[in-house]
Amino acid sequence: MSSEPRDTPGAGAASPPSPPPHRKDAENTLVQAVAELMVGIEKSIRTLVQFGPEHQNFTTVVGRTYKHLDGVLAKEEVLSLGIEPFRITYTDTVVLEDFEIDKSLCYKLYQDGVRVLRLLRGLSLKEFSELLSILAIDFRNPQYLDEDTITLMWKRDLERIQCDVVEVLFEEDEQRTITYEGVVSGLTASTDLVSAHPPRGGHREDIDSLTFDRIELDSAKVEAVFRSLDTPDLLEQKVYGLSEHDREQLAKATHSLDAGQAHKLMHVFIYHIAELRPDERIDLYLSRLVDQLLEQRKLKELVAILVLLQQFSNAFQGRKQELLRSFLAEATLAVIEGERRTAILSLLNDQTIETQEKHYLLGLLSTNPRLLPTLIDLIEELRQPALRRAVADLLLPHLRRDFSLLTGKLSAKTSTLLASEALYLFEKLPFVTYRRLLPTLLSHPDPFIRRALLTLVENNASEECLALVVPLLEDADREVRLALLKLLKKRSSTQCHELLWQQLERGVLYERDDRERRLVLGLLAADETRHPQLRDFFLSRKLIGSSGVLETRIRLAEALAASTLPDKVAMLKEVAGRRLENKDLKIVCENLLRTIDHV
Amino acid sequence: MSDILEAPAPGPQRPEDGRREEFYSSGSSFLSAFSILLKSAFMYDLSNQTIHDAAARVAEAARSLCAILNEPSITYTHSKDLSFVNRTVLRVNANTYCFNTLIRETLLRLNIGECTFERTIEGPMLVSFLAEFQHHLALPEERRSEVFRSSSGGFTIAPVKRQREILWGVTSDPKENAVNICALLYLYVDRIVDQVDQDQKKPTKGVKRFLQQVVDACAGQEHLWLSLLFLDSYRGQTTDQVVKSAILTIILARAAGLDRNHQADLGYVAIYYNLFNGKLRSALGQAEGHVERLLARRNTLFSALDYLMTFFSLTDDWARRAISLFERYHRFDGEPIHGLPGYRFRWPPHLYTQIVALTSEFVALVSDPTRAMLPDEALRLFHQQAGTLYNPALVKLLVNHIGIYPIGSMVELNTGERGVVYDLPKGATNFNKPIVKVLFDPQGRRVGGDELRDLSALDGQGKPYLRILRSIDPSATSTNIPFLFLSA
Repeated sequence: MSSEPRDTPGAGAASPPSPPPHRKDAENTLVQAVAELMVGIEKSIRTLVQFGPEHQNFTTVVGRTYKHLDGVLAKEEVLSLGIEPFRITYTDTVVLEDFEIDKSLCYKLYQDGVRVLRLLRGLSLKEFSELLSILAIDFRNPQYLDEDTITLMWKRDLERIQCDVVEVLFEEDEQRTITYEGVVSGLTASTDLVSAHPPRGGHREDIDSLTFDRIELDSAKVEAVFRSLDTPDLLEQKVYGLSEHDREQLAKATHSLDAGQAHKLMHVFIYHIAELRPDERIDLYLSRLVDQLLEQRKLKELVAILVLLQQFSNAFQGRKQELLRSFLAEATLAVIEGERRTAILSLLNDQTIETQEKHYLLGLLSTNPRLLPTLIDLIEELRQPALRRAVADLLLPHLRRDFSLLTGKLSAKTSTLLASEALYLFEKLPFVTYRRLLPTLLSHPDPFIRRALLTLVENNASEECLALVVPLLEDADREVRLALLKLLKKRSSTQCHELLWQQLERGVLYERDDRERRLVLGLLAADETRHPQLRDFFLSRKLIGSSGVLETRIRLAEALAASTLPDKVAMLKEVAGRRLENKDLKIVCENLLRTIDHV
Repeated sequence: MSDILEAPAPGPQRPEDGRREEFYSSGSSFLSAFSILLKSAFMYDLSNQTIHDAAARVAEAARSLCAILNEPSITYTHSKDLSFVNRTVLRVNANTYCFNTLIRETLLRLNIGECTFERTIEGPMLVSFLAEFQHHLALPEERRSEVFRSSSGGFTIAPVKRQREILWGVTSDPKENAVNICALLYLYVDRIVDQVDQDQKKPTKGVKRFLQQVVDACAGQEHLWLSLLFLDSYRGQTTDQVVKSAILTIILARAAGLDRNHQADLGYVAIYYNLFNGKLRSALGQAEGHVERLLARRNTLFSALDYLMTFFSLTDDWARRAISLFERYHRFDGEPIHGLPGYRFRWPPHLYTQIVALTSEFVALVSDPTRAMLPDEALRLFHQQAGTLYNPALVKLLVNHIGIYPIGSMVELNTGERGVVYDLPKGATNFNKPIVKVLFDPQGRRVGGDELRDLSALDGQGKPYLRILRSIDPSATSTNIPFLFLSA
C-alpha cells in the first residue's frame, strides 16, 4: 500500500463512468445483488435507529440482509465498495446513490475518510450487526464527539471488514509550521548520519577532537584566580595565554599526550572550570582524561590535574567552590573506580615512579570521604611499606572522627599488612576507640600481631583489659606468652595476680619452660595476699610432692625461699628431709636454707 | 448543538470583536437566504417571485457581510461540516443547521467549492447568474470552465479544490508506518495545539485514529517508535511534547499489559494532559514569585479543564481525561506538588494519571532545552523519585522495558566506540547492557555497515567485556537518531 500522497478529485466530481455496454450476465447479476444489498443495509440501519437492536423487526431485517450478503460473498471472496460523497460503487458501477448528506451512508463514510470498504468472506452476523450499529450512530451526539466510523470499527476489532482510509490535508495545512512533508523529511531525508537541522550553537566541546566552536574567555576572572593561588611549578602557562594555534595543537594531541601537552590540556580544562559551565559535563571530561593518563601511565600529570583542581576549589567561593569540590570528588573517584583500580595500583607499585608523586596521589584520594574504605583496602595491595604507612597517616584524621571505617575491615582474618597498620593507628588513638577490637585481633593467626597488641596495651590498658589478654597465657607462641607475663609483671596489680592464680590452679603455667615458670612464680611470690595459697601450693603434692616436674619444684623452692612466708624454713626443711625425695631437690632446699640462715 | 467559535483566518480580515455578533447574525441571514435561493432554483421557474425575493435577501446579506468585514467581497466556502465566510466559520445553531446542510449538499453535488459575492452584488444579478449557471451545468463536463463567472458580474463560483489525500493505515512495512503515522499525528496535534493556544474550542475528533494506528503499528516495533522520541525537529514545542508523550504512553501501556483499547485511550489522555504545556510555560514565564507561579499552574489547569468541559460527555473516555487533568499536580504519595497548600489527596492518583505523568515528565526532561537531560539521567532521576512522585512499579516497568539507556540513546563504550542503543537488552538483569549499533570508531571516524555490539556478551572467562562508559547528547554528534531507525 503506497504512502505517497495522491491527489484525488474533489467531492462531487464527475459522475462515474457508465458501465461497459456489454457486461457479462453473471457480473450484472452480481452488481444487481450488491445494489440490493446496499438497499438492505440502508433499511437495516433505519430499522436499527427506529426500533433498537433487540427489536424483532431489526433482527428480521438484518437477518435477511445478512443472508443476502452471504450470498454475495459466496460468489466474491472480497466485496470491495468504492466510497464517493454521494455514491457507493462496485466495480465502477453505482450501487447506491444518496444526496442527502445528513442521512447518506455514502457521505458519512466519505467524510470519515473511507474510500474503499471491503467485506470479506466469512463475515459473521455478529460482525455485520456491529458494523450496522456503527453506521447507525449519529456522531453529533456528545457521546461520540471524539469518535468516528473508523475509530469505532477499530475498537470493535472487526476482522472481516477492512477499509482504505485517507487523511485529507486542507489548504491551510500547507501554511503550517509543521507540515506532513516536514516531519517525514525530518525523519527520513537525512543522509550520512548528518542531522537535517543545523547543530545547536553555543560553546561546545567535542571531547574526542577537542575543538572549540566559540570560547568566551573572562581573562580578568582567570587572572584573579591565578594570582590568588600559590601556584606550583607545574603550571607553565597562564590559560589566557593560549592562542588559537595552541588550542588546535591540543586538539591534535589528544591521543599522544606528553608532559607538556598534558599540562596545556590541564590549563584548558581549568579554563573550563573558571568559566564553570555546568552543562559542559566536565565530570565526563575528567573521566576521559583520567583514562587517557592512566593508559599512558602519566601519574605525574594526573596528580598535577588533581592538585590544581584542589587549589582552585579553595580559591573560589560559594557555588563555584561547591562545583569545583564536586568535580574534585568525581575526579578522585574516577581515578580509582572499577577497572581503573588495577591501573592505578600498577602505578603505585611501580618502583620507577617517584614516591613523592604517589604520596601526592594518595593524599588527594584521601580528600574524598567516599574513597576511605577503598584506601583502607589499598593498604593490603601496596608493596612499599612507606606507602602503606602513608595511607595510614592519611586515614588517621578520618578515623579520629569515625573509627567505624576501620572496624569492619579488621577481623581475625585480616592480613598482616593491614593489621600492622591498624596497630600503628591504634597507637595514636585513644584506647576506648579500639578496645572492642582487641578480642578479635588477639585471635589473629600472626603472633607478631598478637605481640604487638600486647605492647600496645602495655601502657594504655586498663585493669579490665587485662582480662582480655590473659587468654594469651595459653598462646601457642612462647614469645607471646613471655610478652604477656612481662606485661603482667609490670602491672603487678591485685587483679593481675588473681588472674595468674586462676591460671595456675587450672594447671596452665607450671608445665611451661623455665623462664616462664620463673616469671610466674616471681609474680606470685610478690603477692603477699596470696601467701597462704602459695604455701598450700608448696605443700601440695603437685608441686612439692613427689610428682611434678623437677624443674618446677626447684623453682618453687627458690620462690619459697625468696618469699616472706613465715613457714618457709619449715617447708624447705621438710622437703630437704624427705628420705625418698629427689636428690637434686634436696640439695637445692638445703642450699636455700643455708642462704636464709645467712640472711 | 455545540457552539463553534471562529476558525483561524490567516488571510482576509476577521470581524472585529465589537462586530462579531453582527457578523454572526448577518451570517445566519446569509445562510438562510442562500439555501432558499439554491433550493428554489431547482424547484421554481426563474421568473417566480420567490427566487427574486431570495436573491435580494442573499445580496443584502452579502453586502452586509462585506461591510462588517470591510472587504470588497466575501467568499463562501465549505469544508467537511463547516461553512466559512472569508475563512471565518459561521456560527450554526439549531435554526440555521438545516440551511447550512442544504447549501453544502447542493454545492457539493454541483462540485462548487467557493462562491464569491462582490460588494456591488444585487438580487437581479444573482437571478441572471442562476440562468447562466443552469446553462453551464447542461454543458458536458469537459466544456465547463473551471471558474464560472457570471456575465453580470458580482458573483463567481469555483469548483471544489482538489484536496490532498494521504492514504494511511498500518502497512506491512513498519518503517513506512512509523514515518507516515507519526507525520500525520504531528500535523493533527499541531492543529489542536494551535486552537488551544488561540483559546479556540473545537473537538479533537480524528486524533484518536492516529493513536489507534500507533497502537497497531508499534506492536513488535517499539524500537522504531522509541527512536521517534529523539526527533529533534520540534524540540521544546508543545506539539513535540504532546506527540512524544502519547507515543511513549502507548508503549508503556502495552508493556503494562493493557489491551489495545486502553492503550489508545491512554494515548488520548496523554494528549490532553500535555495540551496546555505551552500555555503553562508562557504563564510561568510571566509569573514572578512563588505565589504567582502557583496561581499560574492552577489557572492553566482550570483552563484545561474548562476546555475539556466544552466536550462534556458521560463516557469513560472523557472521565479519564478529566481525572488525569485534575490529578496533574498530585504526587503518587498523595503530597501536593509545588507546595500547593491544603491540597493533600488521600488517595493515590488514578492509574492512567500515574502512567501519563511518568511518560510526560520523561519526554519533558529529555526534550525541553531548559532542562535537557540525557535519557539515562532522566530514568535515574525517576528511580530516585520512585515512591514519592511516581509509582515505583511503573518506574521499574519503564526502566525494564526501555532499558536504562533507552533505544536511540547515544552512548560511548569502554572500547572508545560510540554508537546508538539499537535494541532492548536481553533479559531483565541486563537492563544496562543493551545492543548498540556502532557509528564511530575510537578515532572518531564514522563506521559504515551494521556493526552491532551486544553488551551482555561474555569473554572467555565468562565476564562481560563491554560496557557503556557514558551517554552522549546526540546533537553534539550531529546524528539524526530517527533516521537510523526509519530510513530505508
